[in-house]
Amino acid sequence: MIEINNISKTFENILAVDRVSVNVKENTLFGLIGTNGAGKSTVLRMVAGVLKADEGMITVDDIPVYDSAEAKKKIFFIADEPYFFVNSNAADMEKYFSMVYEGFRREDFYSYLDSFGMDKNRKINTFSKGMKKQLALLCGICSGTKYLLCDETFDGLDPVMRQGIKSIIAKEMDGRGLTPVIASHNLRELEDICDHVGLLHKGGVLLSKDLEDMKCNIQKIQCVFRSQEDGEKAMKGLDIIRQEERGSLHTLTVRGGREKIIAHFATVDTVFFEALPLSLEEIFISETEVVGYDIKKLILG
Amino acid sequence: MTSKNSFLANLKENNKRRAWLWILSWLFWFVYYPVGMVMVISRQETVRLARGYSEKMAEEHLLEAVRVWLLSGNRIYMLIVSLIAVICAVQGFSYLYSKKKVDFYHSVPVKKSRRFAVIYLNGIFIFLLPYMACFLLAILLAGLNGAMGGDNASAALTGLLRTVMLFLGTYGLAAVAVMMTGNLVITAFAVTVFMVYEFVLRLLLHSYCGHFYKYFSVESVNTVPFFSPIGQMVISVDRMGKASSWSAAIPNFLLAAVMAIVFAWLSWFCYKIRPAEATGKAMAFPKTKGIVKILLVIPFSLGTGMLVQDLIGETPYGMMIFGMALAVVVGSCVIEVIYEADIRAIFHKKYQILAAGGGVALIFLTFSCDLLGFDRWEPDPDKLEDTVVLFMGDMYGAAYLDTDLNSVNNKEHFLAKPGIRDHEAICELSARRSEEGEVWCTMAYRMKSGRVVWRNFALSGEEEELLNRVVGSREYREAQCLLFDEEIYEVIKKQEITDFCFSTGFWKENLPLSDMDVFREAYLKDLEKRDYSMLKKEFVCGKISFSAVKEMEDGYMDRTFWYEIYPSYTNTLAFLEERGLSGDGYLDVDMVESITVKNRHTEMYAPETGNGDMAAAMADVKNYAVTKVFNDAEQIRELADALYPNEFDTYWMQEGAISEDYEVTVQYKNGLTDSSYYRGNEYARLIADRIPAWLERETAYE
Repeated sequence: MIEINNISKTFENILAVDRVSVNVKENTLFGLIGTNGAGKSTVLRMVAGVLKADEGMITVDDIPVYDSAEAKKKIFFIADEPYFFVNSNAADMEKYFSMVYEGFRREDFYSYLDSFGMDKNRKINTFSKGMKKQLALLCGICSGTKYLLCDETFDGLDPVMRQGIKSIIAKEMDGRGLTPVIASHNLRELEDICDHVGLLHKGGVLLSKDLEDMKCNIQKIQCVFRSQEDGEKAMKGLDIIRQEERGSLHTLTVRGGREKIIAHFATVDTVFFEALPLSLEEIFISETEVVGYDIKKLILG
Repeated sequence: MTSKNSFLANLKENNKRRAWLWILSWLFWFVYYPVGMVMVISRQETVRLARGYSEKMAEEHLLEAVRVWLLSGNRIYMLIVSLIAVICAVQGFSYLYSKKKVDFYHSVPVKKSRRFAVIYLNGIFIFLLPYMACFLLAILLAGLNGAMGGDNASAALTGLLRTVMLFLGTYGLAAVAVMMTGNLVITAFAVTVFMVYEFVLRLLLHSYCGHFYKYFSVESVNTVPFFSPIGQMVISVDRMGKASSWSAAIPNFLLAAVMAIVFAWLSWFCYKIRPAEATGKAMAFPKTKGIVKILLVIPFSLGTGMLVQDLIGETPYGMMIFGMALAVVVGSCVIEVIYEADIRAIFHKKYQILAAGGGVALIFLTFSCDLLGFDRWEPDPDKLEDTVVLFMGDMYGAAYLDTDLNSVNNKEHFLAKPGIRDHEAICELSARRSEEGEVWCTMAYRMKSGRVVWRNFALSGEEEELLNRVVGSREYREAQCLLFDEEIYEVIKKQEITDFCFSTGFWKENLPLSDMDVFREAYLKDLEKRDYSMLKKEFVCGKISFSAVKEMEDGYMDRTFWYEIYPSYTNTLAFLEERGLSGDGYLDVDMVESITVKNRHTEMYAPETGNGDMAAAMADVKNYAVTKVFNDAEQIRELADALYPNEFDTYWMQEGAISEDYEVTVQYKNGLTDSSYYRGNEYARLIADRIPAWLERETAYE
């Protein structure tokens, strides 16, 4: 497990990360969401052991990560702009990573290159931005490390590639318990793959929860009440996060378990009611509004 | 079999990123050593054929040429080695300038110590392996051509040590500069600062001492930096040259080795604590910013102040202080802008401007008010070992030589000799020092502690008794006259001696070479009479000179020695008399056709310049000069009595003993002028109290 415990980082009097505490459980996909400048890259660079936290501590499987080769053996970090040696090709990078990562899987690497149609002898400086990210991801996936830290890595990949990479990641998670941490400023990127989401804003953690917990604990109900009094009576005792009215159709976002909420509405006199699935975006909107933020402005643009 | 992530594997992997530097290093050393050695050897062959050397002579020349080549004491060579060291260090650690690269290298599971050691050692190998291979190849080539005998093996070892120490020291220094900075431009600046900082401080110190201290001696100036690998190597070359032994350079090599170790450790320490976010910034460690700024601004401001003072030349230093204050503000602001890469940061950290200003003010006050008591210092006779006294006008034609007949500067020559031990006279003279006087002297007080204190001051000519004790001392005499040095005299005698002759200043007579020892004996005896009183009142009546031809690598060089004779030198005059020569009268009037006298009328300039300034008079000399030619035999005889040849010394004479007004040219009778070179000069001045009364009338300005 990666334990991020109350870390802070300042760059020339600018507080980039402010007392962030997050735990990344093994074999889960952790999505780190935040706007540009929210501190995602800084957190990831600290987790990768590149930057030293001014305060707090980061441990990877109980080993403090900064300046520790042992901890770094468990991590592969893909920066937002991955670096490749000058004039190198994929094979050169494989040789380097094979040297520094004991568990680097050469066969898998070349097999993945083939399946993505990438030439191992082609100079990387002739690659497109997306191809470079793809190559970096393949290097990371094949490095054999337990944790894969990706900083905005999925941005720039075309949908087909993204799906391909996601399926490889899913396979690696199932196969050997890979724990990816993916930072992105785009919520929709992570919607379908994240197990846990941390939302960073202005250097601090706004929210960090398991997606399932969030989904289970927030319900979206559409209903039509017979009368105003019925409506008021029905909404009494509910923890309503959000409420919209279009004519007689009410859409309520309510905190609470699905069964409990459905049971509640079953006891109320309604013309009709229905529990709808919630998107990650809707969950975030709801959760962040509670703490006084407008998520649309923060992430969705 | 080595593990995939072994140290060796890391070295190999790192070298893949440094291939161009390997190629460059191999190319340079191959051209410099094997190719250079072939060129040195073939050049010697050409010289041998051109000059028709005997086999033995040719071999000696070849050995010497190869020895010089292997010694690697050339300053340009040292600069090139330093430059290679800087390139190796900067290239190796340049990844620290890029965020992408730092993220990459610092996130992979390689220990910091391993990464540092790999890069640091590879930088050394890039230099050392091609250097050693090419150096050995050059030695092999020299050996095959019979040029590795004699001292050449030790010369090769010295050259090797010097090169390696210089490289390691500069490499470490450059590595520290890389660690302390965040981008290439600032690193280049930092390397330059590290290399020249001590040199600049020394220059400034001497400039301030020279400006503010009345009795400061430029002879104490030593600008070669001590705490610098290249400085130590320069000192080692000088020491070896003086001692003619490579072992003289051992302390410098050891010091350079210590510096290399210290710099290597310092660069590792900085690397270990260097924050990754330093990438791209001016300074890697924020805490050093203020200190570095102040350490740069203070010398910059002091230098600016001195420059302003030199340009304007005003006292009491209003403009100088203004210049320094301006430099403090401008320097601090510019550095802050560079630090923050933001013009709006220009007046940030004002307290640092104040601190730098305070430092500059303190240093300025220290010098201008002589807070350290430089000018008040007087030697304590109990602490004095001996004193070397230099009268700059009494130097031996600025041509002191060592046993290889190479020139040695006056200061070094005198310092190598025993100093004067008459502490009472020295202390008394020092107590009577002044800024004005007839006799200027430079004292090097050598204290028992080993410290040498230099002072330069003037003395009144009336301090005759004290000056006699110094000028007439055995130590001063023996240091002043090279003829005393038995060893050098013997070396001189082994050379081809030409032109051993006596000269009256106008006329020369050759002397037999076999008389050199007799002359030397007589002259050294006479020197015992040489003191201030004698020099002050007597005119030189002739001189004996000879030349020794020294063979150089690319030709020959004449070393000329001359010895002035005074009327008191009875032994030398007797020696001349025995050979039919006389020191009575400079000129044989029977040979003179006419004498041309130019009266410059310097008195005419006094009212205009206000001070009779000779420089001003010279600038406008044509306006008032009156030139007359005298053919009359009686007039020629009277003028001849007053002549004093230009080539004879006047340093010790009382002011006005030789007239500044008259320039005299002697015209010889037909048939004699063609051989004037052998007779000596034809230009002279006039002895003031012998000027005929009619001359002033004849050359009066109308």
